[in-house]
Amino acid sequence: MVPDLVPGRNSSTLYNVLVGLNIFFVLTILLLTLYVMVSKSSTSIFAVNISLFSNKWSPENGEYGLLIPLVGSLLVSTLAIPIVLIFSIPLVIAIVEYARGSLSRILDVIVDLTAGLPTIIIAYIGLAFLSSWLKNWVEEPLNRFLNFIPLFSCKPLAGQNIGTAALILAISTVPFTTALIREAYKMIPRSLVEALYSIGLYKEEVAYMKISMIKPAIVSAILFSTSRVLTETTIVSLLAGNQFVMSSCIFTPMITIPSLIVNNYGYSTIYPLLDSVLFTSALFLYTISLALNFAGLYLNKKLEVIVGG
Amino acid sequence: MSKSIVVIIAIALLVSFFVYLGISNYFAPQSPKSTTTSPTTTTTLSTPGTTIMLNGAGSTLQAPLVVYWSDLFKRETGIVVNYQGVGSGAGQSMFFSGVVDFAGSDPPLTHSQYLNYSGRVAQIPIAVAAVAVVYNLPELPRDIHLNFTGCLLAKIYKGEVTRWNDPTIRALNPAVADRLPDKNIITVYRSDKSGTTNIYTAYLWKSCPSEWPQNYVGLSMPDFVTTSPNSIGGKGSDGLTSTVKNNPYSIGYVELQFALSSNLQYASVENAEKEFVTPTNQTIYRAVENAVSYLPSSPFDDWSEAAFKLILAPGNDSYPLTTFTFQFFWGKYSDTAHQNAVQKWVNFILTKGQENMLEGYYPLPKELTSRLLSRFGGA
Repeated sequence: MVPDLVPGRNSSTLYNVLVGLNIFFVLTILLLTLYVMVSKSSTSIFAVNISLFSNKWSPENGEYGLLIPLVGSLLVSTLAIPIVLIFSIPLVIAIVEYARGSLSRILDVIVDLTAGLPTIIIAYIGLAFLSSWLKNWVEEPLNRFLNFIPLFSCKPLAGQNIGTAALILAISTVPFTTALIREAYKMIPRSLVEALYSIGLYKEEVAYMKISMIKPAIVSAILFSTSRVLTETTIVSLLAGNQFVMSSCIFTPMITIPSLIVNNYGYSTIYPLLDSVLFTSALFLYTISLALNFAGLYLNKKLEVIVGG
Repeated sequence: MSKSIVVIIAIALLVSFFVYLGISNYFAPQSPKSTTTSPTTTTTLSTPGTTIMLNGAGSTLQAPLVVYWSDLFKRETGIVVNYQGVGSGAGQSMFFSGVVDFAGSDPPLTHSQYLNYSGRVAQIPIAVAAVAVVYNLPELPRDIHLNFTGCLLAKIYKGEVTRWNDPTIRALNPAVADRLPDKNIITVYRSDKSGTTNIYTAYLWKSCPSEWPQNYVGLSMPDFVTTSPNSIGGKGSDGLTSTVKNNPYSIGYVELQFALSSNLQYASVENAEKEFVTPTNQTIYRAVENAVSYLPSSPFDDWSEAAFKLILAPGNDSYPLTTFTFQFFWGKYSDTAHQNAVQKWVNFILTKGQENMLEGYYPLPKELTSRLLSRFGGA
């Protein structure tokens, strides 16, 4: 007997139930996360005797200033993202335009696999090898020859500093950003590409035109990547140096919000407001990250309109 | 979105609301938990089938030892002991909120915690450990141990002695004075709250109060260290070890087993009798032996000062950075089977456990174990 492949009333009800429940779970998780974060952080936000935006952090003395970790988080992202772009856009062009046959497929697979690599692996490689190498061969020469630029004005004390953390974060994020940009790049209709070649453009000029066409996708990839870099924990905990220092020099050890949480949560019950302050710092990151992701999604929609005509 | 999906979401929301109401009503009559007046027993002991299981969490320092012991203990009694190394503070929180049956903690209960739980929580020192002052000087072989006084270490962490060839370091180490490099000292500390930092800062205070006053003693380093651009914070013992290992000319402090297993250079430290002592089985054991008469006699006593008694213990050959690592148990558990399991575990720790130590951990003096057994391990 041939089974009935046309969905009947029963399968349609089951489908609706499953879809409805899934939407419900997603909404519930989002709302519960927000509820827990807001309710936990409200104690410290409304506490009159502490200043969350001071630069003093000393739970023993009731000082919970989040300014330095917040600046550290923003600084590490600002430094990392341009490095990510410098590597990922040429990588996309190389994979799609220049690599042929199996080489292109192998590069595709490598990008996809490394995009999902656990960051602890890169963090440990960074700590054990790259940090001292970068200090000796990149950071010290930059300081020696370009110390009139504020960013390079201080001599690196050790391999762990905000510059090293940004560079290793960038290395770990390049495959992720490359994968996002590559998908948009491949979405450009073939007819458009052929039209570009037909007017006599060279390959590099076509690549430049294609990159211009997917600008919204590149911006959205930047936003998604910033969100990822901003919330990354392992790499910054091991490589940023964890110091409560604010400096314009990128060879200074600094702390970021995820590092602050990781370093303090174990003893959050000992100090009266520490638990709530850590939730507030998480709420800052959550809000920034949600805003970046939302903007990224909006720009992706815009790209669909452009590419879809 | 079709109408039926909207209806299903609405029904799900309604059901959740009523379930929530039901749960709140069910729990409403119970008095809220308070950390200051915690229940006398924990109810998390689980007995899947016939196997009794004890769950513990806390100090990462004791984690390898507890895992090793739990294997021996299971073979002997059939009781399974699960232990998660989540850090002393987190372990204490999990224990007091009833998530686990016992906590592993490097620091004992503070005096105020002790007053809250007095008579209800037993604090059992399970082993002796030592903190080593480690450094990375490529110019010196590993078998040479540089001499440091508490005052010199305090000045280094305060940023008053900044170079390895400083006259103070050279004067304390005349045999290698010419080999000390003209390099900046990188001070490394634990960026997370840590019992090791507590022991280290307490040693600096006890040995050199003029340079390191008592208010600098704590689970984390004072501000001038955490905000200094010449310091680096390493998370956890492994993070600190890697940081010192990967940064030539750095100095730090870490539990001895990490220094030994990672082949780091470690120092001889000045003790109470002004002798420079390296951490060895003999010197660590002598420190505990010399301090044992000053320790409390029962696990239900206040041990908050015990850690400080071991630091800078008297005796020419006592290593001054010596400490206990503790486990906390409730005095009474909700059912007999679990009460017996805990008693057996404590008995095991204080008898066979002391004969089966891993490298870097040292047994308690017999006088202390028999005192503890007579008050708690009576099963």
